[in-house]
Amino acid sequence: MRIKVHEEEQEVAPGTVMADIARRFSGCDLFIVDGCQVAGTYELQEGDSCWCLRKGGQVGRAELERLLYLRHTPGVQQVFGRAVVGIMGLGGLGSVVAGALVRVGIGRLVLADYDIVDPTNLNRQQFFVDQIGMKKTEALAANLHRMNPYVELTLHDCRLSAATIPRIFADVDVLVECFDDPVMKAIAFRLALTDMKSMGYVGASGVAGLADNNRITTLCHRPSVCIVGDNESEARPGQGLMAPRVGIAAHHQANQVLRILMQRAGRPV
Amino acid sequence: MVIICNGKEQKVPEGCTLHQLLLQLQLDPDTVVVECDKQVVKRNDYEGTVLAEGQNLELIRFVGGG
Repeated sequence: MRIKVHEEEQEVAPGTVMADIARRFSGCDLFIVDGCQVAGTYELQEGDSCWCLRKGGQVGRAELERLLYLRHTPGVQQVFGRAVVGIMGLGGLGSVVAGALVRVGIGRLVLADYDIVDPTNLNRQQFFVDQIGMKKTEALAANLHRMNPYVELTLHDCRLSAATIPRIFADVDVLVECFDDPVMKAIAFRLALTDMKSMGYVGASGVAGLADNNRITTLCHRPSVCIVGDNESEARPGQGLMAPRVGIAAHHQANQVLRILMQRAGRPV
Repeated sequence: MVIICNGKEQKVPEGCTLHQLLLQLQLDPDTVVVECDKQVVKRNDYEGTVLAEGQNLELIRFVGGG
């Protein structure tokens, strides 16, 4: 039967297991088949694409870029790698959405925030103590490039408005609204329904407190225009913003971005 | 007079504006996006939009936090 070993087509006998392939490479102890880690006893099937790696082994740049996406669902990386995604606001939502999208290898992110990192951000935002006082755009860019050096980042250190949003994000495929301010959330959503109809959009509303996880939903008002949250849990005195629940919403947003990208590539999931 | 608001019937007085309706519903107009008979209403038009019998409003309200 035909399989791929490190992307090279090969003929192997039926009944070949992963450990048989592994014997050809010295010291490899991590086996991946079509995006999934498997044991040495895994019996290979016709058409499988398999990899044998050494855990913790150092690799060169070209190899690293390929390995970063080895756990992806097969075939999605071509879509992600071509995509441009905008993120408005780099707080508890935006910094987490950016991390998730960088890890899956989105081609380019356009990141906008006017603020600097302060200590009260650190209970939920993806910054570090030694970054207090830095511009959020620059601090986040540094962190994102440590996760994945191959993603292109465009930074805008400015306060966004109804006038600037369409210009700054003119060329994105999907725009993610991660503002704190509900007035800006409404302004951006209205733009998504009117002046910026051609792009996908994922907003958020209702992410504070400790309410039920499962009340956070993704609701689409148009096929590619969606809002994440429970629509009720606002940040107010007595109801704070904390990493877990804001993170649930942020990852809803990030996954919805990927779903919209697949849909727009003609491969809906 | 009766309008449809997020799928439910809502009684409003004659001559009621969209802005007045939002205040009556205890919503901050700046945090609500409104579709009136499937048309998105500009924020600057809330005060001048007089509601009419049978109109179908979709109110999408945003709360703070992120």
